[in-house]
This record gives sequence, structure tokens and C-alpha cells, in this order.
Amino acid sequence: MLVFSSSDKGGTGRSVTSCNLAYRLSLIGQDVAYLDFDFGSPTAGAIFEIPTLERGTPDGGLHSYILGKVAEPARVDVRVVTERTALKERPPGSGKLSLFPGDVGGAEFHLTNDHIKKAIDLFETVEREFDVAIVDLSAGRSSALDMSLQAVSPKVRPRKADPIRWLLFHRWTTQHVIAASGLLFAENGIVACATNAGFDQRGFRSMVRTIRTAVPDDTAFGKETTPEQEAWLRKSDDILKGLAKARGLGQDLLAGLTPLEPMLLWREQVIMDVDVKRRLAKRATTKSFDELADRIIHDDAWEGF
Amino acid sequence: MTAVTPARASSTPARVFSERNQGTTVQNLPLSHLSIEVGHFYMDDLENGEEPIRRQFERVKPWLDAAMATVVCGEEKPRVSTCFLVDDYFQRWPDASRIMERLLRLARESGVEIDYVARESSCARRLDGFGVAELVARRILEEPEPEYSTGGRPPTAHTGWLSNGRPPREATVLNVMEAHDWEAGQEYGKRNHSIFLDVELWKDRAEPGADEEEVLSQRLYSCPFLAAVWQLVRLGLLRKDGAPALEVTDWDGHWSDEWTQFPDIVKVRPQAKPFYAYRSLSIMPQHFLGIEHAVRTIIDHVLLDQPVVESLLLRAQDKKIFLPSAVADRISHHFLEGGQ
Amino acid sequence: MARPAAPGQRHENSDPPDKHRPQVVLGAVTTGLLNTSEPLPMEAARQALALLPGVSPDWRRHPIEQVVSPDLFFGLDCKLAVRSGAQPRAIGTARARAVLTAGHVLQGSASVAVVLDASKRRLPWAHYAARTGTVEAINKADPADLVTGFLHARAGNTLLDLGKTGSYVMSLLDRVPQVDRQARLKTQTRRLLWAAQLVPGTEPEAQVEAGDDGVFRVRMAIAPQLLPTFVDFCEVLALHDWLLAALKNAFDRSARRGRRAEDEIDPALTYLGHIWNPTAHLSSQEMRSLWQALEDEAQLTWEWQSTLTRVRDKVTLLTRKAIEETLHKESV
Ligand SMILES: Nc1ncnc2c1ncn2[C@@H]1O[C@H](COP(=O)(O)OP(=O)(O)OP(=O)(O)O)[C@@H](O)[C@H]1O
Ligand SMILES: [Mg+2]
Repeated sequence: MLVFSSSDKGGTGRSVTSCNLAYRLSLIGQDVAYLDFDFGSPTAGAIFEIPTLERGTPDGGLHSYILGKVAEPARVDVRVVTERTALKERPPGSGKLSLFPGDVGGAEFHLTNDHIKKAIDLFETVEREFDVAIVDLSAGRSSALDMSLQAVSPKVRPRKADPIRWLLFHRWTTQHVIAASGLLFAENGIVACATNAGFDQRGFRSMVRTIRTAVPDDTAFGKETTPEQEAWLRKSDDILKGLAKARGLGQDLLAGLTPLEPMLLWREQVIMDVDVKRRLAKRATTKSFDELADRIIHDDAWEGF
Repeated sequence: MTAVTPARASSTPARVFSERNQGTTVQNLPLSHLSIEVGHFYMDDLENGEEPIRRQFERVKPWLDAAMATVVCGEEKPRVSTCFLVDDYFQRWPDASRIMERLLRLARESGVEIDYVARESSCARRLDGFGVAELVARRILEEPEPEYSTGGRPPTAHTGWLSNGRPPREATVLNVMEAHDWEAGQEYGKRNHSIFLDVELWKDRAEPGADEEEVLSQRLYSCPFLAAVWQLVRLGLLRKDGAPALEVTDWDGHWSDEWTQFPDIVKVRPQAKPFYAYRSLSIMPQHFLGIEHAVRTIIDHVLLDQPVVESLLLRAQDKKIFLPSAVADRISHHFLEGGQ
Repeated sequence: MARPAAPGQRHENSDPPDKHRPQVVLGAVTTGLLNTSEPLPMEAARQALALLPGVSPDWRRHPIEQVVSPDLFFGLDCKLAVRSGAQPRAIGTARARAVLTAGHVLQGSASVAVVLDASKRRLPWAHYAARTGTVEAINKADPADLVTGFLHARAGNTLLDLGKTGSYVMSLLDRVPQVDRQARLKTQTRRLLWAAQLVPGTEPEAQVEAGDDGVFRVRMAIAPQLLPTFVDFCEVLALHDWLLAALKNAFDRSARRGRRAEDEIDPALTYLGHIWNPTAHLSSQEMRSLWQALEDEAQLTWEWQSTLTRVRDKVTLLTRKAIEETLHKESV
């Protein structure tokens, strides 16, 4: 299965959430590959706490592979190379977790047919080994996004191939909702791009789900919340829900949300169960990642648009 | 770590069973010591009256005699065959039989006996439709870029061009924040200074996205490319399933009016020595010099099938005939002076 | 008058015999599953591996079907890894071929013979094109050092990387019409590196090392005429290392949460269970004894048998459970 992570704005939590998803998926027994397609700023190495890959790899990462500079992209087993001791452990019944890093100093490129062919080969190779491949795309419209759509279009992908999921990340604020909806539906948006690539519109839309990130609850106001604050929050939330629905990002398209997690405000990282046990992270955070992971691998969440 | 030294197999038992089916068995061809190409014309030269044709053959004659005396033949009696390539690929005049009869007559009258006639179109595609040029096209290897060709980089897709180095680079911006200044072209195998050459191998005329068969059927090969195929055929190096890629047919006594009906290579003189040869010589007008430079560049980049190469080297060794390992060194030219 | 030799040439039958013969041969074998739902029948396999027009692949049927593509060549101009001193620069071509066993297990096998101290600069390309499968090093180096350097170097973008050449050759098979791109089994591609020092008249002597990176490394001193059988040996070892890893992977995956064990085990047994036969294609006595010596210590065949037994036991248990459940339901 291929999972694409997209967002309109930078800093939405796309990478951090995707890395956590990858980790959670591996815990529930999936063999997972994380493909860092954010060629401009590959951050997955840092999130998985791999010192040698903090800003991507110098030795032929995904960017080099797509540009035809190496016959095979670099890859690492996250559990082997991470500096975080707890992450090194592979609990019984869990799956592999591999990272295909981007390149240090990668950048946007002008998309050609050769790049698309490389992407097709890459996805096929990865799917032959892993149950799930998460592809982290850079924010906004990018060559990587366009390339990905073309590489999985029904024109080139065998009909019986594994399903594709398209995730759209956005923060839970007015501007982010508007921006995310724009990326999906506007002229030259993802849906238009997908239709161009050969998807039928309905078919493609049924693959898309949104993830609302870092959604605050009333504790955000501090220890003691006034009834006025509570009421205001509920009202604002309702307004946002109305806006999302009006912009086509309603409940039916929602894969889930992640709560505002204080740990992540300081540090981009994988939130593990030990963090909850040590009472550093919120239980709600890991729970939301688990739910998302579960939803991703079960087809019923993606049926009936 | 495991260190192992196999126990000495004291008595190696004779093997009872063996099986390795060779996909291709290389044929041993009858070979001359030298194949001489006796002149070359564009198709319209063949239509422009008899004098220019006669004049070229007359100028070929003394060099032909001289070439006969240089044959490298080890301890054998020298075997030399002559051939002529008709340029019917880019232009095709209708009355083929008349052109052929006149050509052979004029050659004979000038003292130049032509043993074999071949068509340039066959070097692209055989009479039976098999794509001969593809045999060469798929064996071309781009010269590796110095320092960075580690084997880890996939070969670049063929663009229809081949060079002996790196072209000059304009000052441009490639990717975001990836710019470079102008740089001179460079011949990778240069001694002190470069002679950078970029050769057009073919032009693809099919619509982008067309399937491979369509692309190949519409492809227009360049003159140097077909000439390179021609040289490799004469040297017995180009094979299909172990047999020569272009085979010789005896002349049946008359020429068809259609070039497309001609066999790939026709043996005109029954008593001729073998067509294929250890070495080749082409005698042609001066203005083909540039093309032949391109031919040499192409041939230098063709990686031939090892069993074929070895079978020829073994034969030569057996007959005590010196054969250079670089194919281009088996090819020589004489360019007739220009201005005539 | 014809002359026996070309002007200026000594009376020899080929170019002056290379003063330098290769002292070291380096290679890599990459092994993986062909991207098909079912193994390719012999005919289809032979078509698929015809990677060059005009030549057909070699093949055999017994005791396991195997098809070997014609050799392909790749241009090289890069550094060779050494432990001490300057890295020599090597120019020439690598030789690579695809090998398909049992219509299903695909290998990309690449190698290059190294001639040391051959010239002072890069020569015109014709020189290298006439010596396919060979690189000539511009500087001197100690052959033993080269062997170690190649086997243990970290990848870098100026160092020889034959493993990727093998992967590239494998990838050519993803695009042929005989391949339906619907593999039924999740497997990982694996790699074996080998390096041989050519020593005329020597008794073959080998060291096989299984690295913690999952890569087998084989180092050998060998007489030049035995080299082809040694390459066969390395391909056989790579094939069986991969088989073992693939079976273990399937077994491991069958125990994952929320997964039907049969989905992993059935294809593994169906497609891999019958292929193990290390000495099948080892034709030389030397390599058979070498394999025997390796078996004595590493016991790969025992490991395969015991893994296979575990997998089959699991199937038996699952079947019994299923039967008992049905009986239970019926009796209720
Ligand atoms: N649930 C959350 N609660 C609080 N902070 C979060 C949460 N998720 C992510 N963040 C934080 O938000 C910031 C941006 O996250 P991240 O780098 O994943 O965004 P991104 O969308 O990948 O950005 P870019 O487009 O720059 O790659 C990080 O500091 C991260 O730790
Ligand atoms: Mg990011």
C-alpha cells in the first residue's frame, strides 16, 4: 500500500505525524518504508533521531535516484541506526521500519518523463518488500507531488495492485482549512492534477482523507478554564467545522485528528508508549496515532465516499 | 567468519552428466584477409552520367593494386575480396537494374572488379525485416564520465547522439540553487588537447510516447551509423544468433528494378574470395573523411559479443595472422584527393 | 606481394600480450524475487532474459531450471577502495548478467577484473572497449589490500559500486512483457560481495563472512582458470542465502498481529520450498569441495531444513486447529 502525505502549508505536522504513523504501523505488524520525498528539506532522519541523516544523506538518496544519479537509493533500518535506545527495540509481532532518506542539498527539479519512470520503479520495488510505504511530499504544489500522481495513475499502475491512500494534513485554524481546501480542489490542485494524470475524479477523491493536526482542546487555555472560554471554544470549533464542510473537507473526508502534543512543541520526534508511561506525552496523542494507523490499513474506512 | 580450504580432490571422478545449453553458437565464417570497398557514390552521382563514375573507379584502381600488396595473411596465400555499397537509404532512384549494370560495367572497364554489392538500407533493416542497426544501437556504451562512473549510476537513455567526451556547458541554472559557469568541451581520451566529437546516430520521428516497435520503424539512421554497421558486417563481427547479420546471396543473373527487392549482399563474381574478412579497407573520395571519423567514434563505443570476438581472434592466431584487438584498428581508409 | 605481418608489428598473433594480467577480480551478486505472480515457464524465461538482440540466453533444465542472460557491459571510471595509501583510479568496463533460477529467483551478477599499474593516464576509449569486463588502474596497489578495500568499503559516490550494477540489471527484468508485476510474496533483495586474488597454480582458499549488515562477503585466492567456477559458487551461495532469508521472513511475517499466517506461509512454501539444492550447478570438483567445507562450518542446509520444518509444523498445527474448529461447530 502506498500512503502519500501532502499539505498546503509548511509546518503543519505532516512529517512528524507521518513518522509517528510509520512507527505505529510497524508496531501493529506491518513492514513499513518511509520515503522522504520532501526533497528541499528532508527531516525524517532527524525525527527518527538518526545523527548521520539529520538533513538527508550525502550518498545517493531519493533525490539522486529520481534524477538518475544512482541505480538504487540509500536506505537504512531505522531501528539499527537510531540513537534513541527505546526505538531500537523491535517488539515481538512487529514489522520492519526502513527509511529511504532524501539527499542533503536536494532541491526542486523540472519534472520529466524519466523522473516519473524512476518513481514508478521505486514504488514497485518498495511495495514488493513492504506492506506500507509512506511518502512524505513537500508542502504545497511540487514536482514530487506531480510525479507521484503520475506514477500511481491507473494508466501505469496494474489494476490489481495494492490500494493508494492520499492524506492531506492541515492545522485546525481558519487559514489552514482554506489553504488545504485550495490545494485539494482549486485549479491546478491535487484533484485536477490527478484527473490530468489519468484518474477518474470520483475514484481519486475516494482515496483522499484529511488529518487535522495539533488540534487544541480547552486545556490550551491553562489549568482553569472559564465557562466563557469553554463556550467560545465550542463555538469556534463549530464555525471551523462549518467552514471545513463548506470547503469540501467535512467529516466524511476525515481520517482523524491529532491532539496538540506539548512534547512536539519542543521537539520533532516519535512519541512512544514509554513517553506516556513516564507521563511526558499525552495518552490521547499515541491513541490518535494508533487510530490513524489502524484506519489506514483497513479498507472499510476508505469505502463509501 | 569461516575460513575454508577444500580438501584436495585427490581423484576427480569423471562427470557423468552435463548440461548447459548455449543459447547461441557462433558460426565460423569463411574469411578473406582483406575486404576492399572500391569507391562510394551518393545515389544522385550514379544518375549524373558515366564520366564521373568512370573517373572515380580509374582513380581507385592504382590504390586497389597497392592494397593487394599490403595484405596481412600470415602463412596463407592472400585472399582479397572487393565490395561496393549502394547508397539506397536516403534516396532511391527507380531504375535499379540499369544503374547496377552500368556501375558494374564502368568498374570493370576501369580495371576494378567488384565481387560483392550490398545495399545501405540493409544495414538498417534486412530484406526479411530484421532490424540490423538495432544490433549495433543496443551495444553502444557511452564513455564513462571521469571519476564518477562507479557502476552505481544507471546508463543514460540513448538520445540518438554519441560523443567521445563531455560537451561544452553553457552557464545555466540547473536546479534551484544549482548553477554553473561555462566550461569547455572535453575529449575523455585526449592526449593534450581535445577533439570533442558529437555524432548524430539517428533521428526519431515517432510521436513521443509511441511504443518501441513504432519508434524503431520510424527511426532514420544517420549515414555514419549505417557505415559503422557496414564495417562491422564486413569484419564478420556483427551476428544474429551466431550467423552473420547480413548474409551473402549468389547473383541470379539479373537485377530487379526495385532496390527493395535486392538481396542484402549479392555475390556478383562466382570466383570471388569470401566477403567477410579479418580487415577492411575503404577507398573513397576525400569528402567522406568527416563521416569516417564519426564511424570510428561509433565503432570505438560498440561492445561486441565476446564469443564472436574470441572466435575471430582464435582463428587468426591459428593461422598466424596478426589481428589488432581494437576493432577500429582493423579498419583502414584511403581517401582519394579532392577537387576533381 | 602479401606479407605475413602488418608493418611495424612484431611477428605475433595478437596485440603484444598484456604485460599486465588481472591480479584481482571483484564482484557482487544481488538476489531477489522476479516480479511475477507465478514462476516463468522456461520458454518465457528465455524470452525475458534475451536482454540483447541477436543473442539468446544460455539455459539448463536439470535439476533446476536456470536461464542466464548474455553479458552486458557498463562503463567505469572511479576509485577503488584501499585501506592504506592513495585510492587507485580504474577505467574500463564491468561485466554483468542476469540469472533466473526456477523461473522465479532473479540475480544480477556483476564483476570486473582489475589490471594494476596499467597506464599513466586515461587512454582512448577503443583501448578499453576491446578489453570488456576489465578495468585498468592508473596507479599501483597491493592486490590483497584491494580485496579488503572492496569488501569492506563504505559506499561513496566515487568508489566502485558493483552491487548497484547488479540491481540495475535486475531492474531490466521489471519491464519485460513476460513479467506481470504481481509478486505474491514480500521479500527483500540481498547482496553478496566477492573478491578473488588470481594466483597461478595456487590451491583455492576461501573465507566466507556473514556481516551484521546482512551481506555475505567471500574472499578467495584462486588460479585464474578456476575463476568462472568461483563466480558460479558465489552465485549459488547468494541464491541460497537469499532463499533462507526469504523463508525466514515469511515465517516471521506469519506471526504478525492481525494477519492470517497462511497468507504468508503458503506462497513461501509453494514458490521457494523446492529450490534448495546448492550443489546442483556447481560443476567443478574444487567448488563442490569448497561448498562442502562451508557446510561443515556454517551448516546452511541444516538451517534451511530446520526452518522448513518449523514452517511445515506451523501449517500442520493451523490445519489441525481449523479441522477441530469445524468439528466443534458441527457438534454444537
Ligand atoms: N500534534 C502536535 N502537537 C504539537 N506540535 C506538533 C504536533 N504535530 C507536529 N507538531 C510540531 O509542528 C512542527 C511542524 O511539524 P512538521 O515538521 O512535521 O511539519 P511539516 O508539515 O512536515 O513541515 P514542512 O512542510 O516544513 O516539512 C514541528 O515542530 C512539530 O513538532
Ligand atoms: Mg516536513
